[in-house]
Amino acid sequence: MKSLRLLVFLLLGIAVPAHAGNNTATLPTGTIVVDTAYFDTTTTVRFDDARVARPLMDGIQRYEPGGGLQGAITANPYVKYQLFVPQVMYGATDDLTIVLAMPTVVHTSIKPNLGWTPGDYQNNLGRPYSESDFWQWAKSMGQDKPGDFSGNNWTPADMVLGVRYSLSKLKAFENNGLRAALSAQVAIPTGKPADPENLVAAGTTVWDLNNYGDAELHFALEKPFKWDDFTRLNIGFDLHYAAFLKHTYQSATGAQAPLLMTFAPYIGPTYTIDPGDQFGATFLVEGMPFIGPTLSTWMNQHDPAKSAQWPALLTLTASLKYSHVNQSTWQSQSAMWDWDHNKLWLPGDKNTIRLGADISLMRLGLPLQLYGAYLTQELIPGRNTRATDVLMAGARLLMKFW
Amino acid sequence: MLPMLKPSSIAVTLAVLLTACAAEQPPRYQVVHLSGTSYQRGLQHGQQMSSLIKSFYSTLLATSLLPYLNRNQPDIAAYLHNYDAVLHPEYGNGQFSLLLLRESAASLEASIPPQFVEEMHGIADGSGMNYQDILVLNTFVDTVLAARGITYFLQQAGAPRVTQVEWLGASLVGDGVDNNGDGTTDEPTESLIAVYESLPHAMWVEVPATAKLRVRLHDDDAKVDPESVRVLIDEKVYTLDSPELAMVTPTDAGGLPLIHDTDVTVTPATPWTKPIVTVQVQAGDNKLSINPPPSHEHRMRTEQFTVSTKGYGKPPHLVPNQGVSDGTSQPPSIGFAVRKSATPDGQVRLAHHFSLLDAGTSHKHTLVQIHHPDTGPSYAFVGWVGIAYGFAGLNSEGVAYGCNHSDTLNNPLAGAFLTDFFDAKLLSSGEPIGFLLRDILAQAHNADEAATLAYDTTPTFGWNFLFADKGGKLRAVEVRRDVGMGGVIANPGEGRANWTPEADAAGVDQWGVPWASEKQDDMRVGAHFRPLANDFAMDLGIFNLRPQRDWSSYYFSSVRAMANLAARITANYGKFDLATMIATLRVPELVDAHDSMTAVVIEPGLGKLHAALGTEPATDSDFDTFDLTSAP
Repeated sequence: MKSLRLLVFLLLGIAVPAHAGNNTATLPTGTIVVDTAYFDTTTTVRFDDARVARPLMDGIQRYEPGGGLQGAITANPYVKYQLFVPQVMYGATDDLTIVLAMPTVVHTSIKPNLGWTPGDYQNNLGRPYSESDFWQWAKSMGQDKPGDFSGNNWTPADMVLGVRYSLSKLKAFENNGLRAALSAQVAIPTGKPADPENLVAAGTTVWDLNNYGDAELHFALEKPFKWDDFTRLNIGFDLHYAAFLKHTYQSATGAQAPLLMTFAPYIGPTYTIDPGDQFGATFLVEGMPFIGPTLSTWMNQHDPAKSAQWPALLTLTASLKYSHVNQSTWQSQSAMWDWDHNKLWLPGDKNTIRLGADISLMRLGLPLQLYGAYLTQELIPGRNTRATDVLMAGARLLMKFW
Repeated sequence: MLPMLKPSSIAVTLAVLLTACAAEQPPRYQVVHLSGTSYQRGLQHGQQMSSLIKSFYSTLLATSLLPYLNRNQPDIAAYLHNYDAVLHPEYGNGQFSLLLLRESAASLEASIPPQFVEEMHGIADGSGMNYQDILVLNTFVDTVLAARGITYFLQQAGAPRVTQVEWLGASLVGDGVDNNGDGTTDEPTESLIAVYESLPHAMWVEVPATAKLRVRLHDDDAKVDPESVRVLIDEKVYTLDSPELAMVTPTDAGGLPLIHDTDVTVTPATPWTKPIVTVQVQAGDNKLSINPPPSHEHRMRTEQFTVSTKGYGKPPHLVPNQGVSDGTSQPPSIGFAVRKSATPDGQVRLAHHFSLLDAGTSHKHTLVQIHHPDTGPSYAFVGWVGIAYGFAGLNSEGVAYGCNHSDTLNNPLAGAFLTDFFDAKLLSSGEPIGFLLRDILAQAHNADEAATLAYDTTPTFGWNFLFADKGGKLRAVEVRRDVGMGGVIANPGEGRANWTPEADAAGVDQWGVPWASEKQDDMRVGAHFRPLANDFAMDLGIFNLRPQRDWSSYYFSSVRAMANLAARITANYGKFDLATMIATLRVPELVDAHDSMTAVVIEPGLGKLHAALGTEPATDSDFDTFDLTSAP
């Protein structure tokens, strides 16, 4: 039996974006930045092997023992994650910044939006099973119709510890006016897996969120372009590799969904998922259309010249991220069950478009940056991946600067 | 000198290193070669298929069939108090069906030859499963088919049924034709079937194309729901909304209304267009039943009869009650065999497509077993993991078989009721079909011996067999149980038939027409009885136990499939090579799209078994060849 389990993919913008040069910037020594962001993510489609958008789930065919096809349970799930992501960044040196992020799921809701496609004519009913007929039948077999999922309230996801080391001072980059950085991050397993017995459920682990890896490595290179001695355009790319570790999960015993989720007797008490690693590149363009006035404030010690290179009042960002996603592999005591899952997680890719805006109030005397972004994976079809749309807003407070 | 590294080659190398391979689909079916003693072969089977056996048991029985059967507990306990969950709590808490199947399996175990019991122990030990569960897996078909038959019959007993049929407006009296095939021409009641019964052939012939139909429906404890009435004539459907259809409550000779009867009259606006016209009638009553869910009215089986129109020229017994395929039923299991003049090369071939219970899972657990016993012939059969038999197989002696179930109330479970009445327990008895088939593979040297083994069995249900051997012999066998009131068998030994294509007395019906052959070199079997058509009839007062043809849900679809198959056999006579056999099995009208399980073509003279397995329907798969003459 194919599972109705829904897995959701969202994007966390964990980075060190202090000013222009989102992927290469590091904080000055001793600087502390507290960043908080709110993410509102929705997932409603997946792309198949032919890059055609499909509902998150295929229909599940149900059979009357000896009576042919009852019909197919269809589902068009709507999955919504809301997250709160506080981050603390610390400039250990001018070239090395350390980040600790504590993503927290504020709430997860899943509406399975179940439907029904009738199957064979049933002589004893004088009609094919209707949806109501089927769920009456299922209830008599001990299986209630799955309802909506609402949960994960203020539940920690896997924490992230990251570092970024600036390579911009290397001659090869400096002489060519380039900025470069290496970043690495690891996830600390503080998230909660989905309830194995619940047909419609989602957890808060790296696998459930499926966007940042258990370990990631980035190399970013950017070329700033200046006008009037100020960077007004920044073009760059970022190469990334996200590794996912194999994790062990509890098998469903059918305690809550006996008809649809009794797996343990034949797949074993546990199974593993080895998520496919992801790698690819991001192309980034940043523009600073409005640098804004630079006031004489306490922050620049009443000397506007000191803050000449501070972030522009408005920074607009557009990026396109391509990620190849390797096969995710289920492994249990049943090769057949494994294949039923593996075939839905074949190698593929996803394309993320991000449009963002940063407002920096530093030039006005407030150590605060506000930012927002919209990310979509639906616009450019992926392959064998789920597409998430994200709306996010956040604020950064600089705790120390000089 | 260092080789020159191009950036593109680095990128390709990197991509290869980073990209993991896609997961591979496991084989769509399994093959095991088993050798040694019975226990050793079972052990090898269990060890190699352990995971699949567990998933088969879980997905077919534990989460499908067992809870499905549990739903019938209230209905069964209403008659058989041994299954009352209050009086017998061991049957409560969802344990009813599992316990019933285990008890029945234990009853059947006594009739299973010891070598097969050892083999099942080997399967259990090898797979790590409980022996009781393996025993249930190997015997549930015998118990469930009998229980299903009884349950379905009881459901039908509460639904409307056709009791009379009459043609009005165009008298068949005086046309100089024996329209109803009763041997009398133009008797006064020639237009009327006063006591309706289902037939495998036409009910009337030479009926005027403008005739008006009257069907009387009777419901013992309710009234026909007018909105549920559906009559199909000449491929046109008439319902309550059709101006051509009328319904009245008839009266008896004294003018009193027959409140449980409804006369449905259909007056087609235009003459029929086809030379053979099918009539289908369906109706439900006005009582809503909520158990087992979903809630439903009591629906009668789609009743079907056939007439030919003026000028067709054949007597009723030569016009099959073929019906029409309107998507409301699926063809059942079929088998056919050809030889000599039916083939281009003289080879004998047997084709079989078994359809019963896929439930979305059986096809994922199909298995070809090739046995090399310490003694006796090697043999191969197609079946399922954890199960020690299959419904089609071949041995190295060149004996091939296909076996189909055939509904009957003349089965051991009904026998238990007729013996112990309301104290009865639904325990099957006799030789489980699978182990009879294994015995045939292990012992038979030719089709005659195989047929004798089948004929002499004490069957657990109704079974239709088709045998072929490398010598070109073809045989068909039908069996059912002999049960009777209080355990006294009325006509012992009448429940068997064993015949060949040769038109001897056993192989032809009362009109001299072969039961299941078009010519001398072909035979076919479906899921309905031919010689055993009167398999059971007993009026118990509260129940009027009737023959298969009057209640089985497989009956008309089987009659239709056999007529379709007969036409194709006739059309392809002399052309039945392997490809034509396969093509015939794949004819959509002969394929159950959702309960197909295994399909084979066997060439006993060549020692080859060609199997299509692992898809739904099975015939969507390629036919892979297993050569028993070269098997290790």
